[in-house]
Amino acid sequence: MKLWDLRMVMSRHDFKTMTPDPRAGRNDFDYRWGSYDDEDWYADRNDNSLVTFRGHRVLRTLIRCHFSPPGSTNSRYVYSGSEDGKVYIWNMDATLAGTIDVQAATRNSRPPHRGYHQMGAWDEEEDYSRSVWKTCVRDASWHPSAPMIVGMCTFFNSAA
Amino acid sequence: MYDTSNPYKWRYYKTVEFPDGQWTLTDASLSPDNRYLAYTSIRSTVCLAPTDPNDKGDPYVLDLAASTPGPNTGWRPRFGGSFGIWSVRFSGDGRRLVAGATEGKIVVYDIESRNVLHTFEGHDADVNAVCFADASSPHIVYSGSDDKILKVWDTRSMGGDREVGAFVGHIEGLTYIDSKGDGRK
Repeated sequence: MKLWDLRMVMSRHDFKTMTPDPRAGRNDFDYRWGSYDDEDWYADRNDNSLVTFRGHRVLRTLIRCHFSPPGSTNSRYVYSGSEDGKVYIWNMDATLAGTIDVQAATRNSRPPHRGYHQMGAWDEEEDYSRSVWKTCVRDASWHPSAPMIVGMCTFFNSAA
Repeated sequence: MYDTSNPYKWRYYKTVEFPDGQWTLTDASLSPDNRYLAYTSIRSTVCLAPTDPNDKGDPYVLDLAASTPGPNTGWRPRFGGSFGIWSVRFSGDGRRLVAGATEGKIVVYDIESRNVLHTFEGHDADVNAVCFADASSPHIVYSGSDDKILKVWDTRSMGGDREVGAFVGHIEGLTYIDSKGDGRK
């Protein structure tokens, strides 16, 4: 997740004439069913952002992020959903302010079922007693005045 | 829809549908006056439903593929004249919608006149995220795409598909954009 200062925008001319980072476009990564290794992350040489916030997982679906509300927090945090079942909250200097572990809080709160993105037929013979409870937090919303964050999540069971 | 007047005790009050939606609902955006919810599916239409609990009517269906001639409308049909919308937002005054769609498309729509104001091929891949700038700059639109670039558009000077600037640095596609609303971030 990145934070940009709107006044530091790259002009159309500079954008059209910039030399892409040689490391860009070398993979065929697809967030929907791919995965990635944090070790493969790099700072793009054309990066004009102020801050980069890391640690969450942007996978499976279009994960969403927001500024915290102006009223109760003076917009001093940014936060995001994550494929690992947590809500991540950062300070503006990219240090982690906290996480909310939705996956742990909801574990086995519903009967086991397979996620829609896990291809293949439901196997009635499969032993789900050994499957693992998984949660993907797609979006989160910080209440404008109450100390509350609502998460929008999918729950599914993954083979152990 | 839920009444969250008491944030610790939500009260369900009604369900609205997307007629002929495809696969999933992709986005939803509440109007600044809280009176309407705009929501999208992988279609070129936007549904507009009143949030009033007493209004049980069908949602309005706005056609963002309508080739109504407007200023700088560069609409060229692909895939039989239709596309799918990934993201939708109201403008700060609630009078316009901006939508990000398949094939790099961005559409600005005027709700009251039911007209497409601007359509542009803004990116090389799906536009997963769009938003208007803060209320003091209603002519500025931001778009984020699977092509890894966040672009800035000015509806006062949309000559063809020309962005006014770009924010670069993401090494994979953009999934969402939020504006702090202070004109700076």
